[in-house]
Amino acid sequence: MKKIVNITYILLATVLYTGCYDDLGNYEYATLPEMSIKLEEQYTTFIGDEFVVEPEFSKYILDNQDDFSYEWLVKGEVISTEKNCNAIIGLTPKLYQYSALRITENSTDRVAYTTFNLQVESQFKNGWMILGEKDGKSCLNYLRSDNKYYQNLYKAINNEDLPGSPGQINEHWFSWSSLLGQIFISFNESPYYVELDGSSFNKMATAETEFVGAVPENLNPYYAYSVDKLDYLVSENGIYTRPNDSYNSAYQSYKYPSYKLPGDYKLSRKNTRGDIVFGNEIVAFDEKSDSYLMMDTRGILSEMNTSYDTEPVFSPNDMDAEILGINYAGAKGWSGYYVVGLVREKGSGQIKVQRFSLSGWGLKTFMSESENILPGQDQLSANAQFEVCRNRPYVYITSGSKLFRYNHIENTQPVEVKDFGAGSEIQAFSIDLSGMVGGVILKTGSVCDFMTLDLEIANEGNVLFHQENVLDQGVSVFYKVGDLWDYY
Amino acid sequence: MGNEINFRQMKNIFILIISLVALISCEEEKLTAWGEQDFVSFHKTAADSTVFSFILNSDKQKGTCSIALDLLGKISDVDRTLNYEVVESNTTAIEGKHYEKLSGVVTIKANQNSGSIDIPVLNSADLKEDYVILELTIIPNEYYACGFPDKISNRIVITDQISRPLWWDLAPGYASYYYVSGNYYGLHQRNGLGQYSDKKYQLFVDVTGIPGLDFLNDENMTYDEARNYMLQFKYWLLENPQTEDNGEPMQVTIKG
Repeated sequence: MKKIVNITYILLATVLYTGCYDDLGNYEYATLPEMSIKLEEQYTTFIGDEFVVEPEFSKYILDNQDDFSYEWLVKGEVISTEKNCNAIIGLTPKLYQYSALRITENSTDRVAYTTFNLQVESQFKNGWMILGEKDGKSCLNYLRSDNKYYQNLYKAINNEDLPGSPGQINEHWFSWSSLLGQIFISFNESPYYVELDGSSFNKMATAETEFVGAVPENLNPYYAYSVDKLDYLVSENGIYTRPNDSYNSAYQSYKYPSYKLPGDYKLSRKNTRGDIVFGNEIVAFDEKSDSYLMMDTRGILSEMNTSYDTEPVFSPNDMDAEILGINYAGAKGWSGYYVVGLVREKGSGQIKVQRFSLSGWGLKTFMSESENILPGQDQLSANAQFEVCRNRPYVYITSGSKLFRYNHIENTQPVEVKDFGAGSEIQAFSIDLSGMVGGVILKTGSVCDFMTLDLEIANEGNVLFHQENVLDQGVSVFYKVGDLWDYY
Repeated sequence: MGNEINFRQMKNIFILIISLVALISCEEEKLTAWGEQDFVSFHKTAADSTVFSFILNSDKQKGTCSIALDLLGKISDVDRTLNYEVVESNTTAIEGKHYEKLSGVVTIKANQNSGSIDIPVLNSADLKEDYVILELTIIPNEYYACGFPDKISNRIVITDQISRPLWWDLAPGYASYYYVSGNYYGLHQRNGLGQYSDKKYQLFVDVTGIPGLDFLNDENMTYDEARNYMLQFKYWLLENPQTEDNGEPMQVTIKG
């Protein structure tokens, strides 16, 4: 026992003594005035791309650069030993990877150390998807967020052509998911559709692999969305639902049934997902009853709950109108959001702009907010297209070669943003997540160009990017967001 | 001192007992080695009855109830026969009324490690009100000895009534079901066919044409397929609304 006590005393004394040791080391590496390095706080790169960085070195380092060795570290792993980093990034996508450049003066062993964050993103995380036909075949092109352009990306990745007559594109996520969204592409008058992985653009599923048994007769899919624990596939012939495995973050874990939701309905291609992260609704338009309808976590198609709309501005039901455009327009309080829809009355042909809100933590209730006759609609062509901005009070309208901006809150005369000139026609237009950049497929003669436009009021209409001859016929342009949480 | 003596005595007695037990354990029991004798038993235990309901049978007058057999031992390259008989003392079914006369012999095909006894069952009016039991037992012969003792007999319950199937209350990953305020809350109660009723089950069978949805235990049925049948029934109900016996609308809980 005495021995144990003695040993304990010795150990305690040793620990206390080392605690008094005066550390004379110098850890102020980066503050040595003659050895300073200047880097950005954060860099973003894509998987497979060259990560190139040229730091600003102090004069002392530049004068003696042969006496220095360099180490570029990402999470402790050396990716380059050059003075200027030039490395192919083969890392997995990840935000905020702790990284550093460490230089050592060989003759003195002095070290300077500067840190930065490296954000590695999927190659195709976000950007513009440009769908149409070229040389008689469907063609999907892509403009990455850093303006790197890919022609016919689908074929390059999947080594096959898409089927003919492309329809539309949409992106869908599981609720609260950290997965990149999947891309759904439909085709006109065809049961075929394809789901693309949001990171790689690999084909993940088609109609042939998605159903219990054979592909249902008359399937002509328009779009697919996910709400909490349920996927919806909306087709011209009806709605199909399946559970989704959001818990394990695995798309395509279940199959759609061979039975469609019964009922006398025919949904339009025009639709909007409610609040992407917190909402669980898909707002659709029924072409048979001319009504706004809702699909939610119950897996049913329901009319709007108007019980709180005590002084209605308009009715969401039996409108005797066709839908021209619809989109989520912005948040309303903590639990609601606004939707703007544009409809054309069947009798008068008049275009109306309807603004309504959906509110509540559970099943949403409907409130009609405003209904206005679109000013200046006489100047619009019959096939004018309407794109509602998120979080900005604007609807962008394309008509022939012209692009207009309309303020749906103030209901003022649409403003001409750009005229691409006689002989040109805007075939497709869409707005990015910020609402500040538009994507345009413009047909002039027999070819289509793709361009992005600045939509900030001060620079509105300025061309930010222009790629010529991308398609023969434009069908759809769509901004791929990638990460669900980028909506916030 | 007296306590110490007692303790030592107890210790010795304890060691003695342990030694005796160990010695007894060493007695060699002769076991029949594999290969010397082949065994056969029913796939289910005697307590696990097989229910045959004419409600779930396409032919409402006559049907076949198959009872699975498991063979233990060498697989034979020739057909072999197995004998069985009705256990009269435990049987309420009447030959000629509830089942056709049984041959008492079944052939196990060559190169098979399983077989079945097919029992031709007959419907009769009394089965609408009650059920009858037919109990069979295996008779050893020159090819087979009896296998597991709890599986040498098997019961068939013959009825023309519908009854709550076990799979209705199963819940994956949890206890078999929750029982709250007089109601079962298994998988179907939460996201499936809903609360059980004989009427609903009968309609489900009639609409879908399948008697069961035991996708948790049935290797031949996936959840997707089971959900497909549930939605088929749900959508049929939407177009053909039904009421339960208490007058309430018949509902299913599956989402979709």
